[in-house]
Amino acid sequence: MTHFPHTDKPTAELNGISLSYPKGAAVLNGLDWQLLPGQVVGLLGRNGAGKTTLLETLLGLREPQAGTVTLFGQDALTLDDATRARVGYVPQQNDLFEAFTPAQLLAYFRSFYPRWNEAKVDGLLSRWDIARDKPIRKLSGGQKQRLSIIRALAHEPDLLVLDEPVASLDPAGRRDFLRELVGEVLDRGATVVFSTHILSDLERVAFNLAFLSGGRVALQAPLDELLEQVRAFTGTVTEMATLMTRLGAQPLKRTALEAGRERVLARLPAQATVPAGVAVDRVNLDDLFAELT
Amino acid sequence: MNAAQFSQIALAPWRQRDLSAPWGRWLIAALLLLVSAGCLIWLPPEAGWRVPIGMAIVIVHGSWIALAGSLLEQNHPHAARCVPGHWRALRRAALLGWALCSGLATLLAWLIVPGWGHWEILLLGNSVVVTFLLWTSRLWWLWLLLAFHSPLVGVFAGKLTPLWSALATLWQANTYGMLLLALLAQAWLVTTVFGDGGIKHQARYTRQALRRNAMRMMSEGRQPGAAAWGRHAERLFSPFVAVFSAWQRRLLAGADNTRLRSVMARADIVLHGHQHWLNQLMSLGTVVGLTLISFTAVHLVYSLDLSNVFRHGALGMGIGIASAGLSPGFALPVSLWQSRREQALLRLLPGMPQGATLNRVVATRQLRNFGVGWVVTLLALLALARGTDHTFPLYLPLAALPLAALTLTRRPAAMRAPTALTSVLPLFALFVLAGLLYLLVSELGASPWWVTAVTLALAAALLPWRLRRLAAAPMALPVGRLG
Repeated sequence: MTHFPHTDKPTAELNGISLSYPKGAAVLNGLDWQLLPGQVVGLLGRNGAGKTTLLETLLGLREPQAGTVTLFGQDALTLDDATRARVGYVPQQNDLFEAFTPAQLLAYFRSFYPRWNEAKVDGLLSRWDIARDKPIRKLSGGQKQRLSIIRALAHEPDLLVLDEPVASLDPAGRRDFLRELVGEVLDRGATVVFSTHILSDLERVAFNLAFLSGGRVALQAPLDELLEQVRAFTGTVTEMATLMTRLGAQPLKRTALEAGRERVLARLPAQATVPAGVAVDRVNLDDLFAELT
Repeated sequence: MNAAQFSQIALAPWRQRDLSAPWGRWLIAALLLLVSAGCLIWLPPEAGWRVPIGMAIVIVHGSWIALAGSLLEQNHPHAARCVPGHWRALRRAALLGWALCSGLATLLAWLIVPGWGHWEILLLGNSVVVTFLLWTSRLWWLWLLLAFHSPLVGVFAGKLTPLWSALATLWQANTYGMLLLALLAQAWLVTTVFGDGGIKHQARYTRQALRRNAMRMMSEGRQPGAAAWGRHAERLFSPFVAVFSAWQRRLLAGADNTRLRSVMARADIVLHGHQHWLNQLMSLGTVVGLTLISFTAVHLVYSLDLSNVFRHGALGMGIGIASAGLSPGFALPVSLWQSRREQALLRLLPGMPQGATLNRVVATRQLRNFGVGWVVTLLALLALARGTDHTFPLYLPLAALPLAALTLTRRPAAMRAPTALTSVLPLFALFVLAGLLYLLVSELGASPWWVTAVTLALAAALLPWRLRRLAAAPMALPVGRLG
């Protein structure tokens, strides 16, 4: 069930975002990014690349020095209550009130949301084996993470932002979580963006990947397209320039090799055919992460 | 803010209460009831009912402090920015609580003020107190401002006096208008205490979370390091760390595993942690230094006769000195709990005593540290008692002896995780026992020498018995493994 009429308008839009910390280098540097309804976007980047900063900026938790962020067409810094109710967030650092029990915490937040799926909450608490009446302080790291996810899913948000949501989960917990995430998208067409370092999880659910590097989203594209269209070519600099022009390929990264040769990671247009005799390698997700972040 | 939101917000302080030591709250409630009943029975009727009402005012303010702390804890930046209506609901709940507490405290104060004083002044005073208490939950250093208000008022008297005069004139001319203006200004202050989820709020919330965590550790008897209080505190205490590091380097340079003293001096660094004698000494030195500075400031600003101050303030100062001098010693067993994970490794180190020897050595070193603190405290209290009639503080070190014989010789292996009660109970027992000894002498006419001799005999009898029991107990380290 979709709560809002289908629209092609972006769920979130970031334009020209620049942000740096006091006495620090720029973390985000003229970043442009767009999230469309129903997209599941895996945000990838090295440690310290600014993934958390980007997600916090997206939610209006950080004010950029330049640029604009809009969520559902509103300025992210001044969202009204109706729009806030459409956003769910799982932060990297647990923000649960630790003296509460899970039942108390969920009752607390339920009072603020106009819609709340109690059946889903009950089901997830039972399936994920979270004691309702045990103080949150005494739950394990994984259980706290699951509770944080339940709280974010309970009001059925149209935009779900998750910062390293599976970091504390075991493989079974990650599988359950990913199943829920896919359900959210398939059932309601929600937009989901999450950062992670576990690439195998991305292969299961992320239909889109965004690579964050140098303070910008270096590339965002559907995962299957990337795996199908991105290739690594090796040859002399002249050969590579000719080949890229001939194929109409978009070079993503160039790495100089010895003796005037180079390795070019490039995205081919759909239906492009690589001529015989060209040194070309397929790439997997690990390669993409290593090369593009 | 709807009723469901309000009930959830109002329930939060109760849900966030410390569940580890519920007896502490029952004890306080029982004491308040006993004191109230005693006042109603024994004091003259016109004075007797004022004490319970006065205590009710303290309870109202105490409840407000708990509510204010909880509201600020609920004001998480993520919730303020992402949860619909959360920030607004907190501000409205705070306004409602502020109005209720100010009103109730005013009503109670109005009942006990002789001649049924002016309610306008009472309302203004109580609302200022309630607003101040709310803001101290956000800015802890406001308490310091209160502590040093006396010299500060003196310093700024030249500028403040005309301002106070002008305000007093305005108050006289238009009391209700001024009262309304003051209440509105305070209501505005109440709403501005909450953050909106912005970057400053996030930084402040992180600092407050650190402080709450450190306070929780302290309430459980654990001693958080300077780092637990945040970057500023860490920087402030860096000279302490430098001194401790220098002493540690010297100790390690002369390490000798064949000498028990050298081995245990190094083990103490781990075992006593922040309650190590050197840390205690530096903390005490800082407190004494700050006290001297504030005395000097007051003396210079007001030209007070210090002998007069000592004569009238001897009781409070005596209790303060006794608390500062004796409580670190009582905290030593609890500090053992903090290093229990490192203690397994410690036991494997060359030269480390084992079995009954280890039990005896651990207890002896605790008793020795306590003994040094006890002697210093006694000397300070004797010096203070020379110019005053207040003898109660002298009973504190006396009462500490049998209690130390009991608490410092506990079997470490059977210890349980410290709670708020664990750390408070020895001090509570100390004050109760000292109070009883004082009453024996002052009210029942017992000879002070006789009371002293009996207490010393009790401590002397307890100590060998406890040490024998400790020698037969399971190995002391790691503590708590059999608890």
